[in-house]
Amino acid sequence: MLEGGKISGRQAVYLIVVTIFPTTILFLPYLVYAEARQDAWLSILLITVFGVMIGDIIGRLGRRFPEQTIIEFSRTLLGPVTGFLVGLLFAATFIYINSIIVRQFGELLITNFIPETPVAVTLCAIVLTTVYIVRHGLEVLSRVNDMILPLLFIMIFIILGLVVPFIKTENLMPVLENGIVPVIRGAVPAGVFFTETFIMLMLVPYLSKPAEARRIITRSIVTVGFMQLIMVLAAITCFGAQTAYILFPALEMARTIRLEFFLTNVDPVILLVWILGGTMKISIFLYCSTLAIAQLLRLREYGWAAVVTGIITIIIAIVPYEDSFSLADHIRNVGPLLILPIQAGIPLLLLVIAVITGKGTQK
Amino acid sequence: MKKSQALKNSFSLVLNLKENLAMILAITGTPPDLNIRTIKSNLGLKGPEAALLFMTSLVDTEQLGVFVINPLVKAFQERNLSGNNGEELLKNLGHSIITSPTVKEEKSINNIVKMLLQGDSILLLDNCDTALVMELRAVEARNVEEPTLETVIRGPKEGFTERLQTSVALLRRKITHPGLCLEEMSIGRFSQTRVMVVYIKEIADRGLVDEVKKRMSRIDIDGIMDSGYIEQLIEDAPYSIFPTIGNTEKPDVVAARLLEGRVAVLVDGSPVALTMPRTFFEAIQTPEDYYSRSYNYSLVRIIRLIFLISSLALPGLYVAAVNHHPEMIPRTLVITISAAREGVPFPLLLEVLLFGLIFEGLREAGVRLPRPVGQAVTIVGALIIGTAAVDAGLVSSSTVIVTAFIGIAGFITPGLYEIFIITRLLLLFLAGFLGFLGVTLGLLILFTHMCSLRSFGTPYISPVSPLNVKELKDVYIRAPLWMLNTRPQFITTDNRMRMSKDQIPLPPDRDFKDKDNK
Repeated sequence: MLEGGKISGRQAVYLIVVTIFPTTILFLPYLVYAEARQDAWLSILLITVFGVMIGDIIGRLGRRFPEQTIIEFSRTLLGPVTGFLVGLLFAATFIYINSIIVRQFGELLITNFIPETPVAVTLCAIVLTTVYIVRHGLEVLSRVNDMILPLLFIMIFIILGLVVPFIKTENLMPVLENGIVPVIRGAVPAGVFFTETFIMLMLVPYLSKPAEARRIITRSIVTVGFMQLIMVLAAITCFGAQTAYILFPALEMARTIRLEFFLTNVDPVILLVWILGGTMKISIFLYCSTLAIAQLLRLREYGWAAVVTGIITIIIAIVPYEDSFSLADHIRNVGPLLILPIQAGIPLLLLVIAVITGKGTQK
Repeated sequence: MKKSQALKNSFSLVLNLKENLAMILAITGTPPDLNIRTIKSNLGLKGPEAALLFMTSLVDTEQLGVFVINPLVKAFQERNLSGNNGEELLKNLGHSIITSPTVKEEKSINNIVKMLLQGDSILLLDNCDTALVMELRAVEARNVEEPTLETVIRGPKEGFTERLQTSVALLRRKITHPGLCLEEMSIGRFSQTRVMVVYIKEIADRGLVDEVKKRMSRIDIDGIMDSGYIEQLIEDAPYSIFPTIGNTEKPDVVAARLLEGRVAVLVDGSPVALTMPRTFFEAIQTPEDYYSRSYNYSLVRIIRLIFLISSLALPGLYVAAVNHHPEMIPRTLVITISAAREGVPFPLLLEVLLFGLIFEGLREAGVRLPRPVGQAVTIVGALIIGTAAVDAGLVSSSTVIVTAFIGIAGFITPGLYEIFIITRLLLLFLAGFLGFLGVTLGLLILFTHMCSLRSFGTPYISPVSPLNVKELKDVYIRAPLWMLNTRPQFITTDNRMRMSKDQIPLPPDRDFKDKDNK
C-alpha cells in the first residue's frame, strides 16, 4: 500500500474546506459580482447547490469503490488501456490545476507583498515547502491542516466582526433587479471552484469510514458555501457598487478597518494567515498528483515522486505565462473549458458506466 | 583463558568457604576497600567458620557492627548455634541472630559480586552454598531541596535527589496506593546503574509500559551518568530538534503525570526523572497552574504561548517587517527605527545575528561561571554591551530591544530552550530572503515536522492536532479543577474518569448557617 495513513471524517472535511476556501475567499466575490451585482449572494447559493450535486456524483463513486482511488477504479471500469489513459488525464489535471494555483498564488504575493522577489524564487519556496509536507504522508498533512484551518477561520471571523459597523443593508436592494439571468451567469465562472471536491476521488480509500464520503463532501460544501455567503454579503453591504472594482474584498475589508492605534496596515498579517491556507491547498493538490502518478507507475513509495511532481509543477507554473496578465487571460478563457469537463464530466461518465455495468460494491 | 573459563562455569557458590572466597576475589581482585572479616568460634577447627565481605567505602560500618558483627561474634562464642548442616545454620543466623533490617539469601556468584560492589554486605559460611546479603549502605546524599530549575510560589517545594531510594520514597509518599508499580532494571555494562520504571497499574496503558521497558532493555552502553543518557537512547525522534521525553525534578509533577497515565523513569545518580509520553504543550504547563485557582493561570498560559511563539518568530518577524514590509509598522516607529539604524554599518540580518550571538554567549557565561563572577558578566552584558554597543554604532537600539525581549521570552518556557536557537536562526534567514512569506513557510515546515513526531505513540502536538476539542480544556487555558475530570484521551484510553462528575463545589444550604446562629 502506498499510503498507510487513515484520516477521520472531520479531517477530510477540513481538507476539502481548505482546498476550496482560500481561493474562493479571494477571487470569488469579484468574479460573481461582475455579473450578478447586488444579487451575488443568490449566485453563491446557486453555486453551493451545484457543488453539492457534483459532490454527490463523487460521493456515489466513492461508495461504489471504497478501497480504490480514481486511478485504480478507472482501470477496473474501463480496462487497462483506457483506464490508464483516464488515470493519466486525471494526474495531468491535478498537476495542471496545481500549477495554475501556484502561479496565481505567487503572482498575488508578488504584487501585494514582496515586489522585489523574482517569481521563480517565490514559487520554488512555496512548492518545496509543500513537497516537504507531502513527503510526510496524508496523516501529517491533515494534522497540519487541523492547526491551520481554525486559524484561517478565526482570522475571517475577526475581520467580519470588525467590519460590522460599516454594513449598510440597503446596498442589497433591489433584489433581482434584472431577473434571474445575471445570477446564473455570475454563478458559472465561480462554479469551477466548488467542483474541487474531486480531490476526494483520490482520498476516499484513506478515510477511516469510506462509506461516509458523500456526507463529508456535502458537509464541506455547505460549510464553504455558508462562509462564502457571509463574505459576499459583507462585501456587498460594505462596499456597495464599489465591489465591482475591488479585486480582493477580504483584503480590502481589512484595510477598511485600519487599526490606527496598533498597526497601520494589518493586511500583511492577513496575507500571512492566508499563505498558510494557500500552501495547504497546494499541498493537497500536490499530494493528489503525486499519489496519482505513483499509482499510475505502480511505485512502491511516493517520496521521490513528490519531489519530481513538485519540480514539474514549478516548471508548468513558470514557463507558459509571461506575466500575471497572460495568466489571468488563460484562467478566464482556457481554464474552465478544460477543467470543468474533467472535474465534473468524467466522474459523471464513470458513474454512469459503473451503474450500467454494475461494477463496484452496491448497497 | 582457564581463569575466564572457570569464571563462566562457576555461576553459583560451592560448599567450600575458601573456594567461594577465591572465586569472588578472582572477579573483584583485591581492591583496598574490600574487607573480609572472618568469624570463628574459639573451639578451633571443629566449630563453624564464617566470612563477612563488605566494601569499607560503601558500607555503614557502625551499623554493620551493631546489627551483624556483634551478634554473630557473640553467638559464635557462646556456641549458641543450632543446625545440622551449613544450610540450616545459615538460615538460623539470618532468622534469629542477625538483627539487620534486610537479610536476603543468594546463590549466584555474579549477583553476589554485583551486590557487594553496590554496597551490600555478604556473609559466607563454611559447608554452605548460600550466602546471606545484608543491605547496610552508607548514604552520602544531598538533602531534599527545592529544584533550581522548576521553582514554584505555591505548591510542594521538594525535589528529587541523586539517591534513588530518596526519590522513590518521595514518590511513594505522594501515591500510597498499591497500584503504584516500580520495576527495577540495571543498565550499563560497567556502571550497573539502577533504574526504576514507574507507573500506576490501574491507569497506565499496558502497551505503553511494555514499550518503555522494551526500549530500556535494548540499551547497551558502558555507563549511565544521568537520566539524560537514557532519554537520548530511547527517544522517538533522535534526529529531531524537539525533545520527545519529558523531564522534571519534582515528585509532585511525576505523581501528577503518573495519574494521567504516563510512565516515569527514575535513574540512580540523577535527580531528574523522565516522563513519557511527552507532548509539546507540556512546555506551557507548570505545576503551579493546577495548585492555584484557574482564572489567573488560564491567562498566564496564553501569555506563555504568546511569548513562546514570539521567542521563535520575533527575530524573523522583525527583520521581515523592517526590511520587506515597513508599511506594516506605525509610521512614527518606522522613522525611529530607521533613524537608529542610520549609523549601523551592517545589514539588519547580520546585526540581529551578531547581537543574538552576543546574548547567547552572555547567557552561557552566566550559567557556567561561579555566582560572584556571573554577576560581573551580567553587569558587563547589561552596561557595556547594551548601551555602549549602541553608542558605538555597532547595533541599533531597536535590535537590542528585540534581542532582550527574545531572551526573556525564551526563559519563560525553559523546557524548550534547546529548540529556540536553531528555529530562530532558520526563521531569521528565511525572513531575510523572503520576508513574511519566508517566516510563514518556515513556521509551516516546523508545524509539519511537529505533526510528524510521536512520543511513545502519542502525536506530539495533541490535542491540537489531531484536534480533540474536549481536551483543549487543559492546553490554552486551564479549566477549573472540577472540570478536568477525565484523563487526557491521547495518553490513556481506559479508566479515564479521574473524579466523579459532581465535583463542582456548591454553596452550603441556608439552613446550615441558620443552625449556627441558633
